[in-house]
Amino acid sequence: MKAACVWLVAGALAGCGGRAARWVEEAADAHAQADLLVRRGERQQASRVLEELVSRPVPAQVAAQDRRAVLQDAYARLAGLALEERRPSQALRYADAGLGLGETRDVFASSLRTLRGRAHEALGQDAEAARDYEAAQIVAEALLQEALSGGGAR
Amino acid sequence: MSPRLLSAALLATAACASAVPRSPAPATASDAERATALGHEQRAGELERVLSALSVEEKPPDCPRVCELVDQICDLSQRICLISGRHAEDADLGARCAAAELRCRRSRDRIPPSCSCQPH
Repeated sequence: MKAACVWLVAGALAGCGGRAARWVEEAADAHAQADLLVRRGERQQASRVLEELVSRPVPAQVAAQDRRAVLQDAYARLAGLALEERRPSQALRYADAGLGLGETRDVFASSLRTLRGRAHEALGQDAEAARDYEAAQIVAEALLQEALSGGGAR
Repeated sequence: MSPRLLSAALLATAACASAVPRSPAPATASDAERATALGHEQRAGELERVLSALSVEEKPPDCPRVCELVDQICDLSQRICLISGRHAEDADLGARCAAAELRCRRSRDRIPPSCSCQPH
């Protein structure tokens, strides 16, 4: 999802030029850099690159839904990396930060809910984990409906 | 005639219908001529509507996407039911597990025959 999402937004902004497009390009670069670091086994360094991305100011020209998509994508990746590093509390914070940007019926919400469920489960908070998994499943079911009816928004 | 050919034929007909210059009817046009012109316009509109419907029906399902989502739904069902299994006394978790399994089954049942999703 990560790079595909960023490039999708980049494509949409390509014609706009300016700071908004530059911010999305920087996000794509950050993901590419994180990919490389993960391949080298340097997960913590990859997390730092993505943390820098989410803490960077977002230009006002970036549309709200693009801002949310890019940042939630990065938070989901950060949460995934934290889980791989066996740092569930940190993963929970990232997932919460991502979901705090707004939750709509899309892949970002489903992904972040799943990751938050995994973090809760790793922390022994089973009831919370089940609720997050259920919420993620309901979103995924709605996305399946869209895919079957020819929509298929990712 | 295949739906694709039918679409092409309808498109050509609709295009022809809309390409006919719509010069104002001469003052001397008879009621019959006006009725014929109106009929052509209505037919062009109907053909456009048929074409739109056909183009929606024709769109094949995005099988990789469908399979990926069904996998996700069923994976989440397994996760919920594993948790429920650890708390057999918890009726709320039991109900969530049952509902999650139902969503998984329902999703699998909805896979179009043209998609061959591999079970995981």
